[in-house]
Amino acid sequence: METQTRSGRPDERRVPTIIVAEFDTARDVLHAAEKVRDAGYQRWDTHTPFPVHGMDRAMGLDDSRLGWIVICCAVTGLAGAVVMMHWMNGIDYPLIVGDKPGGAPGALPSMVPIIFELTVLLSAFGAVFGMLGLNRLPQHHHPVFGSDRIRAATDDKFFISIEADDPKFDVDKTRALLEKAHASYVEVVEEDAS
Amino acid sequence: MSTPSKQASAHDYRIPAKSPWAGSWRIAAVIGALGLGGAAYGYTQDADRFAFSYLFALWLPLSIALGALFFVMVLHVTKASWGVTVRRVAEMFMRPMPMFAVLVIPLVLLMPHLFPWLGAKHPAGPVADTSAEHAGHRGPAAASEEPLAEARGAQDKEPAAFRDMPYAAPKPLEHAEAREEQQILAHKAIYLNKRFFLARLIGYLLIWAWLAQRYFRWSTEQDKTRALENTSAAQSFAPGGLILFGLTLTFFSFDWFLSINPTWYSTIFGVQLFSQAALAFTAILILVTLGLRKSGILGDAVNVEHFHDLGKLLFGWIAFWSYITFAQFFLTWYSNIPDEVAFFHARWHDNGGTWKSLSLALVALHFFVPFWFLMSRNVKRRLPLLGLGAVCMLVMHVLEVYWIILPVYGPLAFNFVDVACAVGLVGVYMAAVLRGMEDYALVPVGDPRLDRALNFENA
Repeated sequence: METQTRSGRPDERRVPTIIVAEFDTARDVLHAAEKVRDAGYQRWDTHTPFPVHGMDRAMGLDDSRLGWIVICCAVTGLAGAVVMMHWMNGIDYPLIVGDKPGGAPGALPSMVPIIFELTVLLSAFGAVFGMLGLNRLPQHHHPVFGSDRIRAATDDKFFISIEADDPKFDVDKTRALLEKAHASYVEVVEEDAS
Repeated sequence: MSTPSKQASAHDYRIPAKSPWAGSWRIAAVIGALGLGGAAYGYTQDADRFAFSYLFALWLPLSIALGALFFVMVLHVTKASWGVTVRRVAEMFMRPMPMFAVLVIPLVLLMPHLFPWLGAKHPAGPVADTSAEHAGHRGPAAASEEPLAEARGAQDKEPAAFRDMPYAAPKPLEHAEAREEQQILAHKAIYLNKRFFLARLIGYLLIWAWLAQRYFRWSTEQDKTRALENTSAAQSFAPGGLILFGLTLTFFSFDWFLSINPTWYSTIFGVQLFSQAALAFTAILILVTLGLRKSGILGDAVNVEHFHDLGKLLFGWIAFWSYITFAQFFLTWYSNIPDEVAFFHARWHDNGGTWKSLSLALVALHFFVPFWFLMSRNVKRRLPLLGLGAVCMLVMHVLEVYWIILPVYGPLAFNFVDVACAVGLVGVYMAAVLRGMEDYALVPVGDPRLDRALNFENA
């Protein structure tokens, strides 16, 4: 196995930020992910050119919490629309449109488009911003981009990256684990200590 | 990747001779024959009622067969691989399409009992609006005013100018309305006349039977030949087939469901019937596939991933149905034009208010409850719960078709003919479907996408 560190000015102290392991097949990366999961790592990820079936289980990921965020937003939008329409058309400035007094239970159908729109709008906000939040996006920089080979993750290679701030991270042990999991190449990405 | 690729050849996906599914078509046929016998007796009792019950009952299997035809064509037009494992069951449901040419005959003979433009006088229909229910105390103009007062919940909040609006005497208005309806019918005679109507009916039935037969043959031939040409032929034909399907279904719904109330207009009505058909078929596909899987006939070909997708489809159709149905109601409710609101009056305030509870039940159980129930991924992946949702949608489908057709006849009053016709026609149709299932593999084993479908997973 070949190991490489990024060349920098030799007189500066450099610290590892992330270890990137390259795999040749989806099967290899899946089994390697199971080993990393079983070793108890927390801050790590896989990078593949296409969705690998069973990867959620192999990485030990639970169901996404995004659904709960979206439903909270949806119910907020629904309730907000009902309250808003009732307040505006029934209490604050009562209107009779088409012989249907606002605010009465019989005027409920007139509220439905607003209820629908506000529910959908807040759900969409919840889905988009919730997804960004759960993925900790946007980020200016991620140490994984210190690796040049990671670009092949959009082409024909499969990667596992383990971040240095993982509590179980240890350069030698982590590298050994990945090499034992049949990584074809392991790269320790380093950055200047600051 | 983690599991070895499942092979299609490991299982022939046929109903074994000892399975309870083998010969089950006979049970369905006997039940259907009993139902048709009861329906025939009902015809001798009250031909008018029989005509309406039969129209209601005919749409139950026909909507499912059309939903199946649509589903198969959509799978081809989208080149979807997830649905390949359930496509054959869908094809089984669309296959008996030609039998509707026979089943529709009683309705053709009874057309003068159904259609006002052929002289039918419905007890609560638009032409016979002078019937006992309305006579004396309430003219059409007053009738359109009253539900508004009720809708707003408090009659005394009505503006004074409205309350004391002087209405003309009801009698002359009724005559004026009847006269205007006659004029409308005369104006529509170029479309609503017996000869053109029957020609269109033959056209619909031929097109549907032709489409169903084409798709069935393409698919079953492939079981033996594995010919890729069949898939590409089915795919390139699907867009045109879907356009034909949309046009025929829309005009069929105008002909048979809209014209029993010919002074009422709704351009979205065809879409509503389409959403019913797609929804009901998805529900029955889930239930039948669950049953086949439980008997081990489908092996591992249809697993929780496929049911998850079918559940998503079911949920999507519920949302679609609700959107369409509400759109139709909303515009009618808002504009409040007597011609248009007549449809909802018959299902709310008129007919003695008997349909009100069913109207509310549709809102609650065709939309509200299943919508929230089926929303979660966990429910869709827990098969007994998914089955429960599908059963709910099937029951509500029957009730909704009943709700669309029978209020034209009169107040909600249970009649054994409704059940006899429904059991009879659904039984005969299911007998044909179940009989067909015994002759073919229940998974399209020759389909080039089958391997991808077997290994499908929701990412």
